[in-house]
Amino acid sequence: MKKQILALFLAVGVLAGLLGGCREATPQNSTASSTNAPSSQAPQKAEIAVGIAQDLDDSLDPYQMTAAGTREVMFNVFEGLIKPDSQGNFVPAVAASYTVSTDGCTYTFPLREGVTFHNGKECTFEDVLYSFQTCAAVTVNSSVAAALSNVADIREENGGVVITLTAPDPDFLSMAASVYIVPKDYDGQATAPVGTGPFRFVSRSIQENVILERFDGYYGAKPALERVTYRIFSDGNALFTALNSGALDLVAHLTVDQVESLTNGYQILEGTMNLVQAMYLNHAKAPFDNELVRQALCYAVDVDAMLALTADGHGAKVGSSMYPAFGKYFDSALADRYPHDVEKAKALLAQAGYPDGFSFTLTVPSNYAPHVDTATVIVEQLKEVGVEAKLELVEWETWLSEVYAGRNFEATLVGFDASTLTASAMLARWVTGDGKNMIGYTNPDYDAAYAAARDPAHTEEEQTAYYRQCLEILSDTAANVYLQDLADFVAINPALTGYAFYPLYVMDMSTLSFQ
Amino acid sequence: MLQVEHLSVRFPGGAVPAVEDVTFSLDRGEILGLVGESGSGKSVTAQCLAGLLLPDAEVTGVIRLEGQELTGASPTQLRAVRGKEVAMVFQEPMTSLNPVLRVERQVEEALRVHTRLNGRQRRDKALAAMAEAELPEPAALGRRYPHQLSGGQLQRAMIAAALVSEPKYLLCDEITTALDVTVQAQILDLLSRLSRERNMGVLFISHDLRLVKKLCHRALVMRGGRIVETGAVEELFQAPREAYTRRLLDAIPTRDNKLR
Amino acid sequence: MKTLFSKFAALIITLFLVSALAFFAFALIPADPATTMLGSEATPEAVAALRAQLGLDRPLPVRYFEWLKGFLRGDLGESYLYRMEVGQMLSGKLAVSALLTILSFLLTVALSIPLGVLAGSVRNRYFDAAAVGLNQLVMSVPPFFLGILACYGLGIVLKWFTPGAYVSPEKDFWGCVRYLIFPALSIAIPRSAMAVKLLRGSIRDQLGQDYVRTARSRGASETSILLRQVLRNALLPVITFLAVSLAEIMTMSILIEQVFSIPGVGQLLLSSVSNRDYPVVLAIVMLLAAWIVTIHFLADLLTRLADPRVRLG
Repeated sequence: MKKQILALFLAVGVLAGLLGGCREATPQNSTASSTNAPSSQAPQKAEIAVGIAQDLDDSLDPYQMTAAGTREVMFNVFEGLIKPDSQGNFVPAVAASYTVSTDGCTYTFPLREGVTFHNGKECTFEDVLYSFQTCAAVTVNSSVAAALSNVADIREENGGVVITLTAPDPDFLSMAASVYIVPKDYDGQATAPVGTGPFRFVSRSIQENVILERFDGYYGAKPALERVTYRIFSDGNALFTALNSGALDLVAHLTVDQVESLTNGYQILEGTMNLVQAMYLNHAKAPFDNELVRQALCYAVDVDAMLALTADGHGAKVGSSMYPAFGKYFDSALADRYPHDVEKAKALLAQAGYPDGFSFTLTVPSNYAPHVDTATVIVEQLKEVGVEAKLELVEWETWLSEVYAGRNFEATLVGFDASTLTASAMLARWVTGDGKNMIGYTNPDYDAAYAAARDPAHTEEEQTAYYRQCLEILSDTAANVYLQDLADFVAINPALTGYAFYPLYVMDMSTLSFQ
Repeated sequence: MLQVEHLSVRFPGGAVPAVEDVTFSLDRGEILGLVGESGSGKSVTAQCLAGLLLPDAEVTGVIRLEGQELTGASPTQLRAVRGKEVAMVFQEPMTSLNPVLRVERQVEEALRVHTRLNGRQRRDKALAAMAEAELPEPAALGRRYPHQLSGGQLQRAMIAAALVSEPKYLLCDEITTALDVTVQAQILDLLSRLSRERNMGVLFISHDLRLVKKLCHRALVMRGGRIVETGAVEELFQAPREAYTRRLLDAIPTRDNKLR
Repeated sequence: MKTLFSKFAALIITLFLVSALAFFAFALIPADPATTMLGSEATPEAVAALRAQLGLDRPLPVRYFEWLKGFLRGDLGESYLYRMEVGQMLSGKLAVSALLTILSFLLTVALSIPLGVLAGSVRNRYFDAAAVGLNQLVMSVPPFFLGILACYGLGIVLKWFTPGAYVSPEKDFWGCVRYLIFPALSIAIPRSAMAVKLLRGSIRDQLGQDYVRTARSRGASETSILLRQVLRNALLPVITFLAVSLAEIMTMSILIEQVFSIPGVGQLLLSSVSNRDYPVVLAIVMLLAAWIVTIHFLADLLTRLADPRVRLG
């Protein structure tokens, strides 16, 4: 009722006379039904509009792209020799299959017959070689660059690719999946990318849209959707308004609040964001150099209460630097390593020499509301044990340069995700002296366990055990105040099926279809 | 004949009437002076005759034009008289003309309102009126804007604008006050000639008795909204009956006497 | 002629100062494009390499003069993020923003002049009080708020349009205009209220002038006096206001584009500022500055043309 009154006021008081004619001018896709149904409910063509919150504002070249949002979209355009599926397994793509030698140094990828690029060119060994060489030379992903520097030789053998490593690398498959195969001697990748994926890139209008179309020359199962338009909304409210008005068929990464205020008939899917949200503590600054203090903070924080307050209880507790979708390494026991215990927290603080608590600044990027919400609750919870956290919101870009690169902070609250499907993508950064070790974590046991996990002399089971040991050390030493993997809600046109959550930050369009 | 009988004007909130029980008449061909200090009710009387008072002014009495009663006439009837039968010229020529319109466009205004003449005909008449008002090169001056003319030229243009519809009566409200002495004299000569040639009744309002004496046949002396003395100009100036009139006469600077 | 020349010289100097100010002020803001682009996977080595690749490791004045040199040759440089020519990026955006600005301006004129004449001429105490009150209220509504109300009320509830369903003018010109009407109204309505207030005051003022009395004494009707005599005078201050509005509408559209998800120059500016994409930001800042300076210059010229007292000295 209120809505109608407000609308009436607007209509009559301000605009009615002027816009009498505009009623007929309504775009055709808003149907006569009483709700704002998603735009393609009765599709003539298999086309969908996907709302995304960030422009693909970097190079579209597969070795230059850095933004997670760009990788999420271009996952549909590019493929490696192999690619991850929604379960986190690697399945053959440009390669027909793969085998690994027993010494772990030689990978054989027989090439699939009839793989063509979106420009019509057939994919050959030359293209694969060119892709690996170019990627090794220019990639901005430091872990991929490191893995490729370990490649001794790439040669053609019986219509396949044989890659020899100087030393075994348990993560090599995952890295190989990140080397997207591109046509040799094509230099337009930055703005008009060409790959082998199920969708081909059609156009990008800056801050307006990115359009992909089904690639009819795809070797595998053809996608059901003919055309996907990613519409860009750099303002979160505008994205939500567009979703509510029915202009979009699919929007991911919604918060529980947004989902609850959606008024029309979208189906809502719940997954997780695949990141580790924590209050990251700068070990170079007192009192966070003191393990007792860090543990006290862990006991002081009530993650369950925080989840209840910020997301109606949605989200998964993590307890260490690993998210649940990574089942092989994730240890749910660690999530309850520090139950909420105010007395214990106070005792630990007293033992550490801070019986009356202390104060510090918690720097949080302002661009992502769930982090800000979480931080607000944490600040309140810490007051109970006498710790005063001063919340400081900064622009994301400022956070990157001052907090992340400059390491000029006391504590911060963000989420880290994995750029590749490997444990090291989450864990490498806590090794002493690592370039990405923003908290300055230094622990010889951890370094040793991590090195052991990376040691090719160990079997895969042993390596997994060492990675899990790394996670335990992080938890035991309370490296950070680990919180959660955020709930990820997807609003989707009810006529669409086949949406799959990946353990990576990607959105696969090839599995979607209209009922 | 333009007749005024027992005219009183009271403005809202005014303690005393601005004009009280004023009676006089103006014949065609006659030049009638109306003198008095500022605030004596001269201008209000003239504006009342021209129908320019704001609607909230309270007017009683009778005004007749050629026997037809104007008081109580409808606004449309009044507009038909205004500028056609009775025209008016004001004190400040600069502000009385519209700054963004060409002079000739303003001179022909009355023709736009009261006739169906086309643009060329209106322009010809306007130029003729300007020539009659003794404006040099009317065609060139007419193309100009008010700010490009001198005060004397502007006042002649105003007179031309009043003459263009050949009115029977002309109300002149302090029209020479803003002009210098030589131009004043020329304007007086012009009015005198026009009145004679066109058999036009002129009401000449001024606080300057010297001018009235020079131009008018008859004069009225107003004070505090009332007419205190009336008579032929010669009589009035030779033997003023009222002390007030004498004071007005005494106020004439001796320099002017010398000029005579 | 001399004033025209000196005004033009001032225009050039202004633009030069704006460019220098924008360039150096930008350098003071924390964060740089390299850390922004590499995100939370960055290592110090990767950041250093990217900075070198983008030329950010050279001293600021060198970079400024390099930019200036390119700018004077008409080369706006390449976006750090998009790896595209800035000129190419802007051309499409400019059309959209220009369309929005023109629509907003036309609506402002179309709304404000009739309403202003009405408000200025009707002499009814109650009508006047109501008109002034409503006007004051509308005037104080910020355009972006009106935009949000329009999206919700007219878009989601009444379905007169679909917020977010923007189409580009190249694809469907009239469809684009139809969509842009709503943001344009959000800008035009408060803007018109200001113009109405100005015009009303100006008409009231002019109606008290002597020349109006003269026109009445010629027997002219009130309507004819209002339209033929008063309006031209009353519009003089409004013309300047409306012309300057063209500059302000452009700046307002930055926020409005955000609300209605219109991919125009404003959105590009905001995102480029936060991404520290200097070449794009500088190009847009220069563009806006040039627009604003030119508009003021033209407004000045227009006033001269409209007022013979100024035009003819």
